[in-house]
Parts: sequence; C-alpha cells; structure tokens
Amino acid sequence: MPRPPSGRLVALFGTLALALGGVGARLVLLQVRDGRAYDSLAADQRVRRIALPAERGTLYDRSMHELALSLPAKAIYADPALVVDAEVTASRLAPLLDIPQARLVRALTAPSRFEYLARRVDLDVAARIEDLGLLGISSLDEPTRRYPGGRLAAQVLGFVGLDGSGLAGLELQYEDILAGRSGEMVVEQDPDGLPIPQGLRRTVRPRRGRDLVLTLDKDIQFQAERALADAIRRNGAIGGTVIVLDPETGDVLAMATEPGFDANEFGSARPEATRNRGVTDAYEPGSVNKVITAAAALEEGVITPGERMVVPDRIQVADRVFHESHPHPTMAMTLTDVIAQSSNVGTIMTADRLDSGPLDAYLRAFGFGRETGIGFPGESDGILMAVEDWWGTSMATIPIGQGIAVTPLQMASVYATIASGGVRMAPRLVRGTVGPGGTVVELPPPARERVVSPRTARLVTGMLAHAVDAGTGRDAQLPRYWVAGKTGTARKPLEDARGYSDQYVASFIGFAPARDPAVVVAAILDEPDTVYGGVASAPLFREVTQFALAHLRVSTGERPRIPPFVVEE
Amino acid sequence: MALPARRAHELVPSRPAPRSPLAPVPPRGERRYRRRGRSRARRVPFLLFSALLVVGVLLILTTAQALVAQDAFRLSKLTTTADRIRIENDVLRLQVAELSTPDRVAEAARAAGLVRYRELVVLGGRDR
Repeated sequence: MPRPPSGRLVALFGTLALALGGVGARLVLLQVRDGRAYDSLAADQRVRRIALPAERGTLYDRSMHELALSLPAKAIYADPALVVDAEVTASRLAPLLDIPQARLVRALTAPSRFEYLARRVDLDVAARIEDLGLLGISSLDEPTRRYPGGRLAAQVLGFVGLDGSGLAGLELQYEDILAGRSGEMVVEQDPDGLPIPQGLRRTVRPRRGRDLVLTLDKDIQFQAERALADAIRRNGAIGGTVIVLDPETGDVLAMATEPGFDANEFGSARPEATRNRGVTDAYEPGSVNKVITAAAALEEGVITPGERMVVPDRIQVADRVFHESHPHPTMAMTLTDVIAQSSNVGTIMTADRLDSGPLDAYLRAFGFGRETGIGFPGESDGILMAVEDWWGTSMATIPIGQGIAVTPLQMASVYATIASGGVRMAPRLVRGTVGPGGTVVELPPPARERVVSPRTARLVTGMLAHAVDAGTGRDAQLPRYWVAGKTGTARKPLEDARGYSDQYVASFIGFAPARDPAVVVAAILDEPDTVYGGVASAPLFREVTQFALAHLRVSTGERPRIPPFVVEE
Repeated sequence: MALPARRAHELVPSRPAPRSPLAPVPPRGERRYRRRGRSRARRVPFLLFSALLVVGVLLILTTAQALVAQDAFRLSKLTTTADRIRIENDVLRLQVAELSTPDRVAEAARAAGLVRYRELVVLGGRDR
C-alpha cells in the first residue's frame, strides 16, 4: 500500500492557510482599521442632509398687530451635472421665475453640483416648476420675511438676509430669540436621488423662533412718520426724526426717521435711509440742552426760582463773546424767563455758578456720553468730552448745547426724566415675548435711577410749560392741553470738525399734559429752510402729540404751576 | 392500607401472549394500512384547525395591513391638507396685516369719501 503524500498535503494546506490568512488580514484592515473612513465615504455618496429652516418669530406692535412675519417659500436650485439640456430647461424656467434665460443658462452650465436659480419663490410658482419635472431642478424650503407695513417703522424693525438671519434693527438685536433652531432631515438616496426604501431616515424637527411684542404703537408710528414727511416737505429739510416715549415706563411708542425705505425691498434702499437715526446719529442739541443746566443749578441750590439775574445780550467767556439770538437791552430775568426766552447769556450765567465737575456729572446722570440702555444695534453714545479736556469756553458752549453731541433718543430721555419726576428710566423697544397660549411674558422693567429731586423736576416742568405758554415754544400749544417743552436750534458742525456750517438742526422736545405727562415727543428736523426750532419743529411736535394724546385717550389735566412758586416738599 | 376487592395480580396489566411461531402473520402492507388509516383519521381535525388558524391569521394580517395602509393614506392626506391650510392661513394672516396697516386704512377711508380732521376737537377740560 503506497504512503499518502503527507508532505504535499501539508504544503497545500499551508498555502491555503496563508492565502486565507492574507484575505483575513486584509478584511481586518478594511473592516476594522479603515472601516470608518470607508463607511464615511459611502455615507457621503448616499446620505443626504436636508436643512429644515426654523420659522422666524413674529414681531407684534403693543396691540398685537403683526409688523413682521414669516411665510413659507421655496428656493429653486439646480444640479448642473444632472441637467440634460440647459437651453431647453432655461427656456421653460425663465418665464416662471421672471429671470433672463441667458442668466439661467449660465447657472445651469456652471461647473458645480449646486446652483441657486431663485430665492424665496412663492409656493405656487415652485409647485408649477416641480410639475415640469425637469431633471436636475429641485427646490428647498426657505421661509420669506414679510413686513406688512412696508415703510412703517422700517429702520426700527430692520430686515433679514437671504439666509433668514437678522441684518439690522430689532431683527438683528433679537436674532437669538427670533431665529429659533433649524432642524435637519437625513435620508439615504440612490444615485438617481430617490430615497432608498428601508434606508436611513432621521428627522430633527426645527424649533420655531419666539414672537416679540414691541412697545411701538403702529397708529402713533404711522402718524409720526406721516407728520414728519409733511414737515420735511413744508420746511425744505433733508431729513428728520420723531420719537414718542411713555415717560412712566420708558416705552418707545414711535420712532420715525425720514428718509425711510420699504423693508420688503431693502436691497434697493440707500444705505443712509436704513439707519435708525434716532439712535445711531448724534447731533449738537442746542438750546434743548438748557433744561439740564437749569435742573443742575436748581438741584445744587446755586439759584432759586424767584431770583432775578441781570442779563445783557452778550457775554465774554475766555476768548469768545456769546450773543443772544436776538439783541435786547440788559434786563432782569428769572431762570423761568431764561428758559422761556431761551436766553444763551442767562443760561451761561447760571452755569457759571456751577463748577464744571457738577455740570459734567449732571450731563452724564441724564444719560449723555453713554448708551441709553435700549441696546439697539449701532447705537451711538454721543460725544461728551472728559471734564479734564474741557476748554476755556466749554462752560459757555456746553450749557447751551454746543460742543457736545447726543442722539435724539438721549435727548428725549432727558425730557422723559423731567416728566417722570426726576427718575431716569432706560427707554425700551421690546415689551416681552409671546409665551405658550399666546400670553405675553413681560421682560423685566428697565433700571430706574434718580437724577434730580421731584421738586427740581416740578420746577423745571413749570419753566418748560411757561416756555410753551409765553415763550419760544408757542407753536407747540395744544387746545385744552398744557404742554411743557423747549425749542432748540443748533448749527451743524463741519465734517472735519473745524468750525460750523451754515446749516441748522431745529428741534422741539416736550411732554403733555404738563402736570401728569403721558407722552414725551422729540421732533427734530435736519437742515430746514427756517432755522428756528419753534417755527420748524414745534408744529411737528404739536401734530404728533395731539394725535398721540387723542389715540391714548389722555384727559386734558390741570394747568401747571409756573415758577417762581413755593414748592411743597 | 386495605387492599381492594380484586387481587393484586389482576391490577398488573397482562403482557400479550408471545406469538406462536405457527400463528398466521398478516401481510405487512395491511398492517401499515390499518395504522395509517387510524392516524389520518386522528389528524383531520388538527389539520382543519391549523388551516383555519393560518387562514384566519392571514386574513387578520391582511386586514390589518390594509387598515394601516388606509390610515397611512388618510394621515398623508390630512397632513397635506393641514400643510395647505396652514399656508393658506399664513397668507391670509399677511393679507389681514397688510389691509389693517394705517396707510391702507387711510387709503380706504379716502376712497370712502372721508377727510382728515383739520383741528382735533377735545371735549372737556378748561380752555387756555
């Protein structure tokens, strides 16, 4: 019997074992070491992640009228690699998308796998495009932002970009609250883009942004914008701002800026028209600033309401002579007369009794040189030099509102402080968010800080009421309501900050009813034909205030007491 | 313990008597036939029951599948309807918001022949 060829069998098994070992080792390398990398490569080919945009929160006015809301829309895009005939595809899409055919052809032949053809397309148009069944043409959910009021409060509301994120105004300021959280759908697809049955399919639903309730009143806002546009036309001004505040709460009821723009068409707006100038732009306030000088002097006790000063029509401070706006003989004036007649010399004489330190402290306490606390994007904190840097003439210029710069909102806030009995409250544009069930979740009230005593506030209110009753602000008088306010005229500084131009900013800021103020209104016109605030801005103030008082159903109130009078402590 | 009346050996099952080598043996096929006939008779109810069970389960599964499919169609249809209504609602919300903006109200008022006040009249309060 022949012996089995054991040597050859062993060699055969050995070879097979080696070969199998090699295959096994390669398998281990592929599956274990490089497994994740290959898995990832495969997933990239068949797994598609579709972003599900979150619906942006709605902006309401204080009466829950929509000022900005989001609507579902689609973005139409192409995968040029899948497009069969770019010319034919473009010719069928062009009339639906209202885009030139040549532009579409360029996009459809681009060397990429993703080209946007149109953004924020109405759903019915998107549906008609999908019905065409064009290869390589698809759509994505892309909510669009709409502003029903168009130009109404456009600078305050701001606008959102194509990707749905806030670019300006409250849309930018409250991006975190309004935006919500995007979702995602993960699906496995075959090479033709069809979902693989039983394949991976995972959806993370988007979370809608929260709604915001603003302090704006759309009716007062509209009336302020309309009156401002009329006043600009009437006075030949290049622009202007109107701000309406509730002095008790700091709520901004209206903030109008002209020239304006349509928030639905912000792409075609001039950049300067999109600025909310009431907050972003600073100007020299002029005589409306005299109210701070008077309040500081009264609070510090350097002057009494009944004291008469001998006031000439010019005064020299350092190397410069300051004049009254109109020449007059030397006369005896109380502080009430100084404010009512807007006397530069009388104000400088009053400020002279204060040191620069206390005056600077009061200017800062009233909110100058810092942001108001409203938190609006691009807010200017104005210009107020450190007291060490004041010049020799600063104790004359600053008390009459020159050599400093403030925003219209800062200036309105000063008058709101007087109107609320000497307590400064940071102005606010947002009342709260809309919680579950549609209830309004109020934001914490803004911080309050006392600036002057109630006595000083009452005295200054009386002086401002006298300025309207018998002084420079007569054009701001309202039938049956008592108004307290002050005119202001300031020359615009030259752009290189060397000297002044021949252009003016005219303003009137005040509140009504004087005894129990319901609204503070700042009316400011940029470069009007008539330079005096009383002539240019007081009628604008009157028109806006009259509407606001009627709209808010404010009773007429009692006549304020005009100083000098004995103030009950 | 008392024994029963019968004897103990009667309780033991009787072992079948050993077949005599001379006794006639039935043919093998006949024996198998008899055994098969008996077991088939016994299996009929079981087979019937099984068949009924299978058919019943199939029917139930098919019905359930059909109901689930119907519900899926209904759900899909309702979801589509809800989406459509939501979109319509959003569009109507926008229309309402646009129509109730102050400038549209003012425009409608002008079209209706109303005019703006020249001077607001305040009732009550003392005159200046």
